[in-house]
Amino acid sequence: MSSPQVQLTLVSKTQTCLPTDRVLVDGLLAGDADAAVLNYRKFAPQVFRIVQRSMGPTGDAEDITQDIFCAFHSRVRSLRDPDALSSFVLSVALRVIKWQLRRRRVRRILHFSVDGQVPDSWASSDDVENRQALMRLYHGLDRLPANERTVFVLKHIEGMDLQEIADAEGTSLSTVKRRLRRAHSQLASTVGFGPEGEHCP
Amino acid sequence: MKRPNMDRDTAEANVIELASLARNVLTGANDDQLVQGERAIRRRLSDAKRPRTPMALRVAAIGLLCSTVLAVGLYWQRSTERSLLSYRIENGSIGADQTIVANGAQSPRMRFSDGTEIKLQPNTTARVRYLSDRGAALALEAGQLHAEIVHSSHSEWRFDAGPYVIQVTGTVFDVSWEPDPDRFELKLQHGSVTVHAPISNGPIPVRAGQWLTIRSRSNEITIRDLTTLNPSAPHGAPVASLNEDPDLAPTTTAGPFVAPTTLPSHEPVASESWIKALRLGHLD
Repeated sequence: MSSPQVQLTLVSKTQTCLPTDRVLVDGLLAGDADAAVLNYRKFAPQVFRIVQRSMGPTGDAEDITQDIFCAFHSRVRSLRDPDALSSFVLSVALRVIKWQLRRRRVRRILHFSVDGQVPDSWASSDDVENRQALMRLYHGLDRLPANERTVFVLKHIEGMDLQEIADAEGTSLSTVKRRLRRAHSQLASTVGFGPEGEHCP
Repeated sequence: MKRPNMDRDTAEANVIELASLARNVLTGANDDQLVQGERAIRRRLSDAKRPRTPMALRVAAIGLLCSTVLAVGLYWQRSTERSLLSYRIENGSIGADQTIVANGAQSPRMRFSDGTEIKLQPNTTARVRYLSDRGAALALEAGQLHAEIVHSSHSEWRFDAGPYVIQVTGTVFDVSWEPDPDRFELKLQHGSVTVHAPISNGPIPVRAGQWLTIRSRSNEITIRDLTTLNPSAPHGAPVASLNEDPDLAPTTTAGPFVAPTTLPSHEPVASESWIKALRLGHLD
């Protein structure tokens, strides 16, 4: 069954009126290059933010976001329901993020670790306290498994509800709750008692 | 280290507070980052669309590679595996009991695929016990045969003559075996063989130019030099009835001498005086 040919017109950002998911999917399936760009424009802000919040201070959010959209384009033909485009993008993003987190964990174990410092762009230089608090939080998140970490980030930093997270993760609601509980418990032990804890920098 | 005045609920509340801070600080990409990302996506997607080698061509190349590897593997396997020797019989045929039967008065001759030739004398009964990729095993039930074994690094030939076993790698010899009156003879022209006999505890090495005679019933093992071949008196020669005397190692002297063998423990053992007399050559 061939997809209907849809002609999408790329307009400047100020005039952007992003198409619906269904139209985008039709364009993507037809191989329309503009559809790929429009898809990026529509979802990149959210994806970038989730990447940034999930990976923490040492994450290379821009490169990982590009990887996510490339992975999305290679898998878009497996999307069956055009209305589920948003969930599909998010699920691809989470898969890539988890893979990156696991890779980083292995690199850390093998002593190829990144330095764990928060870049200057994250917080203004005069806000030293916030900077240190963020470092403490991500130091604790670095100790969590990728599944627990992403659930915590999506719930408490990204502000998604549990059912949305379960859909994006492709797991049950109870699994999400269990992971969130474990993340809470471990983070409370490692960073919840403040900067004087032994795990805090 | 925990603060004593802080309970777990407070700790969890602190975590949530840190998460809120992260939400406020980490607000996502700015416009520049998005524009640069868009350019990068365009570039990466256009790179991905570059014409690549057609799938059919790639499959064909992989198939060709696999076929080549398979062909090389098969060739290597065939070149390393050895097939069983084969043979044909001239002037004879295989009888019902697998023995080689002469056609008329002529001597049957066996020609093996490795070049080995075995000629059976008239009235000789022999059969091929088995063939291998390295040689064959023949049973000489009675009579005499002449063997010219082609030597190679891996050849393994075996001749069973009654209770005697001759192991050969490459040589030319005549062997005869008569069950009655139990006489085994081996005349070795070239190479070397070892003979296993029931009256010997170990193998008897025989070298080129030697003539071995064994009579189990009278515990006789005699090795002579072929140059002194005297068909009329090979078996009246001194008898080898020794009991592990290293001084009596085989030598190729003119005339009869004693083979390096020992009798089984249940056989009668020669007295030391006899051995001494043998050394001095006082036996007749």
